[in-house]
Amino acid sequence: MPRLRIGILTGGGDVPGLNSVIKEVTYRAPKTIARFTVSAAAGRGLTHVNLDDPASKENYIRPLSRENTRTIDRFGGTVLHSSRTNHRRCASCPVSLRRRFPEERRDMGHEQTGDRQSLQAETRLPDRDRRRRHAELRREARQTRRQGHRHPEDHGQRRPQHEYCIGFSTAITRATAAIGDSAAPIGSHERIGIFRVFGRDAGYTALYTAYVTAIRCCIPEFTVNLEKLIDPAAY
Amino acid sequence: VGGYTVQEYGDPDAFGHRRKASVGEALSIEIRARTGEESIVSDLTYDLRSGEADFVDKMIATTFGNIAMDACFDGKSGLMAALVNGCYTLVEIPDPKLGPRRVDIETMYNTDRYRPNYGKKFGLPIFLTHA
Repeated sequence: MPRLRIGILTGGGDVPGLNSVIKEVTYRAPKTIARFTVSAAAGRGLTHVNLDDPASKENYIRPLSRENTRTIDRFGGTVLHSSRTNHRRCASCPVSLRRRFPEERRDMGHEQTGDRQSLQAETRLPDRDRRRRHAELRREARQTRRQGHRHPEDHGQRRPQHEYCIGFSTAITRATAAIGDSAAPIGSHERIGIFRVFGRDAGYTALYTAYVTAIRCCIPEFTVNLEKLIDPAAY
Repeated sequence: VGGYTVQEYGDPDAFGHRRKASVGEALSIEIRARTGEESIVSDLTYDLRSGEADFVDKMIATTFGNIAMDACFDGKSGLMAALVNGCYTLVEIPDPKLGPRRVDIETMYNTDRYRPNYGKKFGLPIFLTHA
């Protein structure tokens, strides 16, 4: 069998179930494989590792084996500890890529100092980054069409050709459990329960949670009328 | 009044952006202002991401991992494991230019009652959407 180099690309942050994927890939691989990991905050393995520095490799790369992945599927969360952010605004240029890119193409935004203030700023990046990325994608689509080329939407691929993302069931299960646990205190205190779930761009999590808990939901695809939403007579 | 713009607070950061208030807290304030009712707000966002995978996710994730490895061994690339019409398969990696897939309001959301639509699900895959 030819030598395989396998990477596990996670779209955005980690999800419940990803540990199971990592374990299965490791178990099916003929020999030990390696992956990037993090030492401290917010997914810095890929952007901070220096492959020429043994200490850096030790810090950011962890070999995967049957032994160290045997039980990872039993635990919540994931072992990657990565977090979504805008690659254009992380480090000035990932150390591992500096040999591939000329100096003038290395500017990726701002310098990371690693101090507390910078770390706090990073924690606020994802939402902004996502909006900016969407704006960039829309701009690119317009440019593509202006240049006479067809955009992927023009080829009929108007949405992803799949119907499930791992972690979705766990999210709904946990939301349902949390809402159920809150029912007694909310009821006994005669309060209105408001639950915020993720889904800035798509309301599937809110919709399916509402589906199984029989509650109302607001989703980003539809602008609700606030008066009507709050009106108790509308329940 | 249609819609609501989430309020911002605090000083702008180095990029001129102020922090956004929680939409749950904002709704709670609006409810109290308009009706006098008190509410309890729970932010579940990170709790949903960090939990131990349930049965469905463990089963599907385990199968996805094995399907991906089977594809590697068969020399295939540029594909990802997926569920289509309720069946495991390999599909092309979606173009990120497509953005997120949106809820189909017409079939899935009751715009009068702000609740999911429960009817007309016959023939749909288990997760109620077609690829």
